[in-house]
Amino acid sequence: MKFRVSGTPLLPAMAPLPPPPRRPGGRPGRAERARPSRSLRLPAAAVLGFLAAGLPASTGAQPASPELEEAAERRFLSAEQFYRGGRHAQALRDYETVLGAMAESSLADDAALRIAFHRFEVEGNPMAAAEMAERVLTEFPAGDAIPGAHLLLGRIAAESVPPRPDDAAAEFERALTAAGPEGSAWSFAALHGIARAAAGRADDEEAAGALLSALYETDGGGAGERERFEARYLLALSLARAGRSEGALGELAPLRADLLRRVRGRPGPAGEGGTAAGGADPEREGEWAVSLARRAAALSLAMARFRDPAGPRWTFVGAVRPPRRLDEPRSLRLARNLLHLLDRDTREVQVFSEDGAFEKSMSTRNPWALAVDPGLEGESADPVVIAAEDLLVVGGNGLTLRAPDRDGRAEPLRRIRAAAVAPEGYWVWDDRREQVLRFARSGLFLGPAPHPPLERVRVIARHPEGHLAVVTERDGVFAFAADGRRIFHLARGPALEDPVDLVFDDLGYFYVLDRDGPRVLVHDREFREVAVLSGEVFAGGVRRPVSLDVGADGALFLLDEATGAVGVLR
Amino acid sequence: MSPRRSAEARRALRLAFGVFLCAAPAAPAAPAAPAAGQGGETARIADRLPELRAFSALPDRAAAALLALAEVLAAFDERRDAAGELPAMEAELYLRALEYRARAHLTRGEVGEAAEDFRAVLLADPGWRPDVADITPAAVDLFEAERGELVAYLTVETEPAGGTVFLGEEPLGQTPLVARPVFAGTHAVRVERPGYAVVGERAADLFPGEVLALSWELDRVGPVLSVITAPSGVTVRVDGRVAGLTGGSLPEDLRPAVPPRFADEVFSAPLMLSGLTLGAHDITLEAPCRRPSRFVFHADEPRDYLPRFVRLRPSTGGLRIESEPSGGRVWLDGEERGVTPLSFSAMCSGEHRVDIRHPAGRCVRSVSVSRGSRAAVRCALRPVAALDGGGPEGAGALAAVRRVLEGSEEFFFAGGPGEAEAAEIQARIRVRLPPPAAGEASVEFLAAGSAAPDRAPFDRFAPETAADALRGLLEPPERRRPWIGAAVALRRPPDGGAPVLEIASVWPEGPAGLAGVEPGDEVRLAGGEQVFDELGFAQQLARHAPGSALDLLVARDRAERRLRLVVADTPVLPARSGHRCNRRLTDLDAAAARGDDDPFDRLEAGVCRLLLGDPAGALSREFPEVELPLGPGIGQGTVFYYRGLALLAVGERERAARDFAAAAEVPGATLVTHDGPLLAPLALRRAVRLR
Repeated sequence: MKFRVSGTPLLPAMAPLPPPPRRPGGRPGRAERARPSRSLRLPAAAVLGFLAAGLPASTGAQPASPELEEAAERRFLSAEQFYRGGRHAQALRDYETVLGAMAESSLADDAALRIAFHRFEVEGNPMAAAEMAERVLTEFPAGDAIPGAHLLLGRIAAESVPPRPDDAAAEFERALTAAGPEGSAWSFAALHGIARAAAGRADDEEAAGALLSALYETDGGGAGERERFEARYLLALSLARAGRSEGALGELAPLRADLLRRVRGRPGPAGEGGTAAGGADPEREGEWAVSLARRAAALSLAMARFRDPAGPRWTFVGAVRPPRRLDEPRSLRLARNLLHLLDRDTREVQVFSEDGAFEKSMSTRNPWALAVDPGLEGESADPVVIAAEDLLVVGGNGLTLRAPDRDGRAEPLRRIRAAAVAPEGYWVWDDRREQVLRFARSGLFLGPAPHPPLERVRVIARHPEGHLAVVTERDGVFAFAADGRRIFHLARGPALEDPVDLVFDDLGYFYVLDRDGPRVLVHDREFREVAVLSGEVFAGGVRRPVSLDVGADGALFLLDEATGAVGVLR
Repeated sequence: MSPRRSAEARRALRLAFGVFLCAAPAAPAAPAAPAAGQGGETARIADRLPELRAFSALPDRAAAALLALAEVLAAFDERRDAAGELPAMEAELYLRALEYRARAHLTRGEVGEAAEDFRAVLLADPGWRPDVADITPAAVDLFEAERGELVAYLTVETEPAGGTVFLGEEPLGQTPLVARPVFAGTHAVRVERPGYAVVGERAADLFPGEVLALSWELDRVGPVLSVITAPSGVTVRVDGRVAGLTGGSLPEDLRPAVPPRFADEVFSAPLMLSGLTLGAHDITLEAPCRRPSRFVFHADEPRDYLPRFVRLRPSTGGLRIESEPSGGRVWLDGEERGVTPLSFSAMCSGEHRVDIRHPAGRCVRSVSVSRGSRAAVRCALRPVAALDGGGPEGAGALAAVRRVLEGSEEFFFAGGPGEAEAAEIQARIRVRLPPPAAGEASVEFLAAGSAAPDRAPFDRFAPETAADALRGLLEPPERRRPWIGAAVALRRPPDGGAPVLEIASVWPEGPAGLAGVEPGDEVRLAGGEQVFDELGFAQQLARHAPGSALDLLVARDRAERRLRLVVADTPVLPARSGHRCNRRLTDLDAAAARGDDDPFDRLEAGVCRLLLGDPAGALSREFPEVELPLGPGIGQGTVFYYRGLALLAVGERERAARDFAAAAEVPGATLVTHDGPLLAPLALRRAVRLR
């Protein structure tokens, strides 16, 4: 049985739940009992194919009767089999029986943890999940389910609205501590969670350290192959962001080699860009490996560009003609390796590949801007977010956003002109309120983003370290810290005549597009200018760009309203 | 034997056979001190007996003598119980002590006990003569009285003389035999002489204190040939059947008969071949290290033939024994002979078993040495593996595992439990079959000195799968990997075209750096083949053994350059997952025993001990000896990190924090290979948490 993350970037990859230990004669270790540890396995777990390292388990000072233990074990095994078969209701009944009627048994805490994970993973009820996890902590304080309970609480904190990354990191640390010095099946997931939390606050050094610890200091018993590969990729990315490019390249080369070896050594995807053969489930057939190999290659290319002693360079390599006519092109974003192009006049978002092959189109009322939600990358829904005047279109669904007006009444926003995606949800610019407002993914208002008064904001974006970056029509480009303090300003002038777009790449570099130059200004995450693209770089192929985005490999895509095409600079 | 015979008497009787032949009846003085090596205890007893003898005659000291003698006898009893039988010297001391105790009893007026002790002595040796020193007339009388009740005397004469007299199955001596003391009773007496019919009496009554005289005339029944060989110890076969082994030395009276050409040889005593029929007989003579000899003996009539002197010429060859590593102790045919390399110029021809033992492993070979030639044995010593026991339910798995070990080329299989000396075993293999509910069946591999085994599960219902599990454990883990000191990465060319593979970083002092490879070089060909990605490059590198040349064609500044670099290797330290540290430790210990281990090996061994849950062992054994450069890759930074982990595991947090901080300061230090992963963030994280 596997409990898997449904996919927001802050979540640690969820390891399969380790098997509950068998403790002959043991008791569940309720609050009043001491529970020394030992390592054993439940045979049922082996039947179910759990991967598990020896886990700290517990025995009680007052052993439960063998009959009770045996009955609890049978019931627990039954629950596991039901769960694996997708019969969650029956499984839950059995788990609850073990927890309630057989609370003295050694499996009661494991049953409680199973229920807690179910509440969170399947029912989407974090409160109930947290309550059950807390029950594990209070009623079975010396039990072997403690690390799992802390891990779950960490995930709940990471995914809460608003997210509580510090709480999440603390819970993951507790999970790690409770798992013991030798680590356990929980250790990998806990460290992965710590790393993601650190990456979310741009503490890349800490993220890299935690990932190294997960990969090389735990036995990885709770992690699957995919989780380990993704951890390696995240490690390379963290090292690259932390400025340790040598270390990052040292990770990337073997990672790519291993991924390619895996991809080519298996039936299914024939290689990079291949597809799963025979209609098999691509998830199982390893399409993730193809995708990850591609991401690793892109990261390698992006890093190579910035490692060039002569500074980063781009070359105009051609233009992609959108499959449909453009009247008033406005915004361009890349998602899932597809170009998403917004036209104000046709009120259409065209989706097409880099070679111009049409994929689909989406129409919406009065669209103004596009953003990409990485949290939707793994979902079936389209990952673009459209700021559409009085709606935020997320995954094809309209989301009406309400925020208190001056009188404190929750009123819908009516002039949404720009949007950005943040870990906790969405940031939107409302032209009427002249304010960047923060919302959860559910649409719950989280409060305004602090910033000085602004006018006519065209684009908003989130800096990797959580700063708010905006492009205004009149005053240029700003960045504000979380407390609203201005930390960067690029004023309009000869060097920046008409800023129209701003994006960040995976490494944290940010790109400002000047329509009139035309030019692209490239800055690093410390706001230092590293390159200016203008003039001959565009080779006449880009004349009046209105939007840009950056590919994972650092390629620039510029939407040109003069030519009605997307210029590509590699 | 009397039913009331005491324990001492019974014990004395058990000694009888050994003492009967060895005790010197004509030398009743106190036994001489035992030869060196018989133990200080025996010597002390021998020294003490004269004093006890004197005490036994003194009324005020007899009791003390009794106590001391009881201790002496008890000591001998213990020794006999442990060894099964006392050596001749100690057996004589035992009887002497028994005699003195009888005398002490008599001095104290305990006539019954004294008589019993004298009787025990006589039962062990009917010809026993009491020690005359300090003996009292009463003791002489009592001893003689006992002897009068127990001992008879036998006289045997034959014509011709020289027949061997047997009392029952015990040889008493050769005729003429005069008044030989024997146990009184009814005995079978017979006389044997080669070439003559056996004569004797089935039930001869020997009365106490009386002499029985027997006399026979022997009848010739066949021919007799005496064979005398140089050297002695030659196996003689008559018509293919072993007739005997020559031994002893040539009697003086036969020396004049030695042929002049053999004057310098040392011959054996004659081996008399009797029971021969008239006619021709094929006589062959064989001895180790000698060329066999053969002759035909024609027996025309039943008589004693002249002795045949036969000299067997030496048959030897040379033998050279070497081992890798050298310094192994050599056992040749079970006898320790020296240390490799070892040469023998005159080794007996034939098959020999060479057994070489070394802390690095063991090797056993059979070698055939031919006369006049030179044989050689060269052994690569293999670590010794032994199979530990398992329950009867694991017999199938044990058999499967045993087959794998017996066929292993990596290990020397020393056998099952108790079949090898514990000190010589480098790896123990064990089959574990816990109850189904308690865990899965597994095969374990435990290196000598390791804290925990490597384990591979197998299907308890398919015991033969244990063999595959063991093969996996025996597979040597990757410890070295080809390395060139350069990393590759994809790069977009300046014209924005398809990605190419470039050299991303170079160790200046590494093979690539020394060959002139520079960062930014575009890799066109590696090893003569096009490589398009990191996997292609890794596979090409993996095909090159350390020390071999790898040709690179790189593009730099729009010009192609051919560069030839010599592939080196990088250590591969065990990561926490997927390692087989016990297997590594056997190799590493063997390397250490050979003396060809390096600091990387010691670091690897330390890491293994750490991962196997023995941080203290790593701290005390390996880490103090490891000193590596403070540079990138596996180096002193790596040592700091692992030492920090070990210190942390034993609770030394402050020192651990210092080591982690030091590790984080070493630029480019890595964790598993020279190529990474980078350990600085990990060490930093550890250091921060400890602070």
